[in-house]
Parts: sequence; C-alpha cells; structure tokens
Amino acid sequence: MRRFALRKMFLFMIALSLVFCVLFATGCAGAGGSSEGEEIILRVCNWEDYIFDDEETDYIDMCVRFEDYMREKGYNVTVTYSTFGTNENLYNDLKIANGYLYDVVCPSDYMIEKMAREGMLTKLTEIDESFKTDSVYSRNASPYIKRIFEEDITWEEGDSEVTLGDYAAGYMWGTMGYVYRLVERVPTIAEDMLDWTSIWDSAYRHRVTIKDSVRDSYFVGIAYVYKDELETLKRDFDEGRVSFSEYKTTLTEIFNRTDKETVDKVEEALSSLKDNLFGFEVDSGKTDIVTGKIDVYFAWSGDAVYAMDEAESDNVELYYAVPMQGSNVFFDGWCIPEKAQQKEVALEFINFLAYPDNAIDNMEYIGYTTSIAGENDEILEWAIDTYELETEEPEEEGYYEADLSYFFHGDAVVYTDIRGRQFETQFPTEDIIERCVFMHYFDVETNERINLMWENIKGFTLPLWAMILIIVAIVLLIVAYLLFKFRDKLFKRKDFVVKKEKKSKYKIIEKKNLD
Amino acid sequence: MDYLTIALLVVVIVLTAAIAFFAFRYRKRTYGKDGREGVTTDKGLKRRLFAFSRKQLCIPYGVFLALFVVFPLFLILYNAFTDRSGHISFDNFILFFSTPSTITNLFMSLLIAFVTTAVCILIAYPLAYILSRMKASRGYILVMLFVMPMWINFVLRAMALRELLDLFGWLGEYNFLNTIIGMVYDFLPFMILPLYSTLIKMDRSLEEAAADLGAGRTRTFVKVTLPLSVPGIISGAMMVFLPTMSCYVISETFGGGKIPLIGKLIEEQFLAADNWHYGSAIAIIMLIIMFITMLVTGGFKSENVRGGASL
Repeated sequence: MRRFALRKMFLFMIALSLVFCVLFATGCAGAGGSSEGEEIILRVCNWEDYIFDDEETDYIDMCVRFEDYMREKGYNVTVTYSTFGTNENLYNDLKIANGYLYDVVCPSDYMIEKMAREGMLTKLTEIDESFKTDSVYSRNASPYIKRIFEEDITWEEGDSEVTLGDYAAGYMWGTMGYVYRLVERVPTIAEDMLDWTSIWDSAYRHRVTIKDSVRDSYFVGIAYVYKDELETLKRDFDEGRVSFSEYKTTLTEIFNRTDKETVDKVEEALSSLKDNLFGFEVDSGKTDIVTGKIDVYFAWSGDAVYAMDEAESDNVELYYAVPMQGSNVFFDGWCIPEKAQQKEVALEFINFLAYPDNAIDNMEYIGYTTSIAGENDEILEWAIDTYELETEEPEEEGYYEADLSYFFHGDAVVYTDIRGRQFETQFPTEDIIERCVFMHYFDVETNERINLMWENIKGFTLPLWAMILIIVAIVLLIVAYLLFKFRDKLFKRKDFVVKKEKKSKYKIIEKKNLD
Repeated sequence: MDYLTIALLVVVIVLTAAIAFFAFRYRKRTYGKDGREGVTTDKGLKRRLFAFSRKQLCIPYGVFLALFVVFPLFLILYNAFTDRSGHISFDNFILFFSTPSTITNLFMSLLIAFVTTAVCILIAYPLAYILSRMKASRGYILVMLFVMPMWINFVLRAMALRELLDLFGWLGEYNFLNTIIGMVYDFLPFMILPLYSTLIKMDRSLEEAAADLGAGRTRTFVKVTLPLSVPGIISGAMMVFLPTMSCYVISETFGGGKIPLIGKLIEEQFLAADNWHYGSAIAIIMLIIMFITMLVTGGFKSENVRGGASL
C-alpha cells in the first residue's frame, strides 16, 4: 500500500516539474511581447559594447527600440543579442554551427572578405534588390563609405568582381594611430608621433604599448621596415610627381606585403621593439594612458576617443595622431550569413540602424565613427553642436579649416581651434584619409607564417648553453627521482630487512600475551 | 532565455526525475534492518526507501563527465592529430618541437610555475606552522584574513596590485618579478589551506615523543614535523604548480604580455591564429606535462606517507 503511494509521489513529482517547465517556458516567451502576429526571433551578434545601451536597464536599448519600430510596422519581433570578442571567434562560431546561428553579424572588413569568399554570406541585394539604390541605408550612408564599399575594396569571385558593399552595410569605421600625452621629458613628442618609427627610440623606453594582436602590430612593423620607401612615396605624391591613384595603389601594396622576406624583416623589427615597450595590450592601454603609466598608446580611433574623454575628467589632455607614412583604415559592417532564417528582418535591422538618430546614439556610446552621414547631413549638425565648431571662418587667429566634404553629401567645411582631439579623431580630414589604406586578409598559408612570426616575437630564444643547462637539470631531476623511488631494490639495505623481522616477532609476542 | 535553455532545463529535470524513479524501482533489496547484506525483509525495504545502488548514483556525474570532459578530450585528440584537410598528421607536434621560441615558451612556463610554487611554499609553510600552533580563535581570524581575498573578484585585486607595482615604479620594468608577485598573490591561499589543515591535524604527541627522546627543536622539526606535513606540501604544490603554467592573464596584467606562458600560446592559436589543430596539439603536450608532474609528485607522496607511517 505504502509502496504504491510512493510511486504515485514520484509520478506526481515528474508531472509537477513538467508543469513548472511549461509554465516557465510560456512565461519567458510571453515576456518577449504578446502583440499580434507570429513571433519572429532575430539573432544579432555584435562586438562587445558596440551598440547604444544606457546601461541602467538589463536589455540593450537599441534592440528594444528596433522591436518597437517593427511593432509599429505590424511585426512581432524579438531580438536575441549576443556578442563576440574577436573576428576569428565569430568566424569559428559560424563555421562550427554550419547552419543557422545568427541572422545578422558585424565583423570587420577583412573577415567579411574572408567569409564572403568562403560563401558564408548572403548578398544584400539578393534579399532586397533596391537595397543599394533606394533604402534607408543607401539614402543615409556616407558617400565616402559607399565609395569604399562599392569601388575600393573588391575581389574576384568566380568570373565576376564583387565588392565589400555586395555583402555588407557599413556600421562603424576608424583609423589607427598614436594616442599620446605631452611630456616634458620629450619636447618633440607631437612631431614624433607623426612617424611610426619613433617608438623604437630609447626616449620612449618602457612608455609605449602596442597591440597584442598580430594584424595591427604587423602594420607598425611594415611601417618601420619600409620607412624610406614610404617616405619617398609620400614626398613624391606631395610634390605632384605621383598621381593620387598611383600613390594609393602603391601604399596599399606596401602595407599588404606578406612575402617571406618581409615577414622576416618585420619579425626582426618588432623583436627589437619589444625591449622598448611597456607591454602588449588590447584593453588595458586605454586606461593606462589616462593614469599615466604610459605616454604613447597605439590605438584604434574609437579607443582613442574613449581615452580622451576619460582623461578629460582627470584633467589630462591626450592627443591623437595618424603618422605621415600612412595608416590603416578599417570598417565594421553588418552582414547576413548565408544560412540566416530571418533575412528580411535582418535587413530591416540594418536599415533601422542607418537612421541618423540611431547612428548618433550609437556613435556617442561607442566612440568610433559611424558610416552614416544622414540624408541631410544630420551627423554634421551633431558634430557642429557637440564639438562647438564654426561654420563660417572666424576672424580670430588660431582656427583651422577642416574640410569634411568627402564624407558628407553637401559641402562640409568647418572651423575649429582645437587640433588633435576628439573631433579630428572621429572625423579625420581628407589629407589624413588620403594616407590610410585597407588591409586585406591573410590566406591560410600567410596566416600561419605570420602567426609563427608573432610567436617568435612574443617568446624569445634562449642561448644554447641555457637550453643545455635546463635539459641537464631536468634529466638529473628525473634520475634522482628514479633513484629515490627504487632505492630499496637498488641498494638492498640490511637494516630494512632486520626491521621487518623485528616487527613480526613483536606481533607474535603480542598474540602470546593475549592468549 | 531562449528555447535551447528551456529545452535543456526540461531535459535535465525529466532525466533527473526518471533516474530517481528507476533507481527507486530497481534498487537493491538486499539490506536487512540492521544494514547487513543478504537479508531481505519487508521492514528493511521500507527503511531503505532511497536505496540507490552506487552505480545508479553515478549516472548524473557519468553523463556530465562523458559530455563535458571525455567528449571534448576526444575532440582535442582528433584535432591534434589531424591537419586542415582532415588527414592524420603529426605536423603539429613536429612544428612545436622544431620551433625554438615555443620550446623556450614551454621552459618559461615551467620556470614560472616552479618559482611560484617554491616562493609559495617558503611563505606559506612558516605561516601555516605558526597558525596551527596558535590558539584556535586567534588562528581562525588569521586564516580568515588570508582566505578572505579569495572572495573578492580576482580582476579587482589584480588591478589594485598593478597600481601598487606602478607606485614602486616596477611596472613595465621588471616583468618576470612582477609576474611572480602576481602569481604568488593569486595562488598563495591555495598553498596555505592544505598546509594548515595537514599541520593542524598532525598528532602533536609524536613531536612530544621526539622531544622526550632527546631531539632538539630543529631536529624534531626536520625529522618529525616536516616529513609528516609532506602530503600537505604536495597537494598545495599541485594546486599551485598546475594552474600557474596556464594562467596567462597574470603575465598579461603584470608582465605586459612579455612573459610567454603556454596557456597564452594555446589561446592565440584558437582565437587569433585560427589554427585549432596546432592549438590542440599544444594542449595535449601540456596535458602530458601535467600528467607527468602528477605522477612524479604522487610517487613522492606515497613514499613519504609510508615513511611517515613507519615512524
């Protein structure tokens, strides 16, 4: 009787847990939104801290805004937002899943190229034919970004030539350069920072960081190795001996060199730099420059803006410079994976982010430069308000002209008296953009070679005598251990045997006593 | 909460319930009321309601082990012994042992781990010794003082220590020293606790006996206390030595990423270099090294336990 009751109890427990699960599941689903229409789940994967979020709520504000926007259009969309740490991480996630994982992702330029070449991405025009000509994105995107995406970054795919813009819509972009503080120790620091190779100088010993990321640091290595060539090229271009397109092509070629000889030279250059460095970093640099642990910080422009903002609250002025030899310009763009299930909604998401209001919120939060200019150059208005720029040339001395017409639809000539700070970092003038080039992805073989080079730089080679010493020490330790372990068998000790006999005698005596 | 999580929860709950049910149904009924085997009575049955056999109790852990330990291990093995095209190859291992910088990297990791362990023993042993001889209440407070930092997030503590080292002007200058300081700071509690528990459980009468037989304090310590505490030293050393080899976050925070550790190498292969095969091969090499370390220390341990027991 009791046994039966127990069985009932178990069944009851199972039933209860099932009911609980169902309730839980419906509760969760219900929280997402219960308006009309079939629920659509949009899976977004983005860089960490790379979208507007006021951080007081536990949801991502921009995603909720998108959900509301879609609800007005009559769709019931729930955004599932996840983040990734490196481009390779995202690539592997998509590769391993080999199917539906995300609907819309935001990798960097070279990774978009790699994924597109491997057929992992959908062409945006396949979803909406008018995406490039008549969509929120195409109306609002900056002409500069469109030109880069449609004309500058191209590769062969089968018989036809495809462009970055076929697969991606621009989100954020930036340049690379040095963030520095004015120090009395080195009075020439402002001029020095226009030269990549300055950080090799012993004046900056243990006051500089570079990126713990092989692609970015390789770039600095190239600038050091081909310094003369780059400077001659720049001079020829400035003096009109070389046309702009020729200059740009050669510059791109130099910074994309990955032959064995170059890699060996870069390895040598970066190895000699290592002793002069404070360290390699990817994250700590932007706070270390604010707290004064370092004077020079090799940075992406978005991090530079962040560091400058932080420093301002500590009453420290930081500056950003893009060296004259040329620099890297990078673009992060939204792409839709081949196996995404909500391609139309994903495209809506891309378009939604292109509205100037959203672009401004994102840019303010992230610090990088948005790829959006706004249909009526709303971003320029924002910049004028935020950075207190003048649109007419002021009569006072000390103002300089910043021509941003390349980026905006209309004429955009503004005047400011502050150089090298946030405004210039976020909106580089045309002469800075002229010397920035795109870095293509390394193919598998090159990637292996360059990563091996990176290991050699980060590790070090011990001299032969030290190696031999260590090996001898290890062998001696092992021998000592073996001797210790088998000491009884190797040296038969008499006292050991005697001890054993004594022990047994003792036991016998004990037993006798008991009897 | 996505559907996968909910599905997983449902599976877990149903599985647990099912295991509990079947374990109850097919439980062993060979226990008498006095707990002796071989007697089956109704009374005994009622008393042992939840009489799962040991094997059945192992099922949840077995499932966990298979899913999250054995299966990944096989994946690592598969990756380590194949190349990009999926063919079996030993190239990854050949590459590792033919590159001088990776070999130095390995030695460096071993050196860092060795020095950290040695410094930890040197600091922790006297401390644990003093603590174990203190009055219980005062000793407890001191133990808490050393254990409490473990409750604070490590990132926070590391940042604080980093500022301190910067104050001394050491940051960026003495990378090896800084890394060792960071490692010791992080792993010291793991050394103190096993030592303390061994020393406090030790039979003090053995020391008294040694003293009675005419041994001085030094001799008593060397001949009695130290050999008896070897198990504590060994388990503390294991808890420090093995994680130190791969704890590259500390070398990044305090050594500016200039002190290469083998864990960093593996991370780079997976996250930056996109070479899972090479990364897996290095992981296997590290696993073997750890296994050897455990074998060696395990050997010493058993030897010394016997030695201690035969005193």
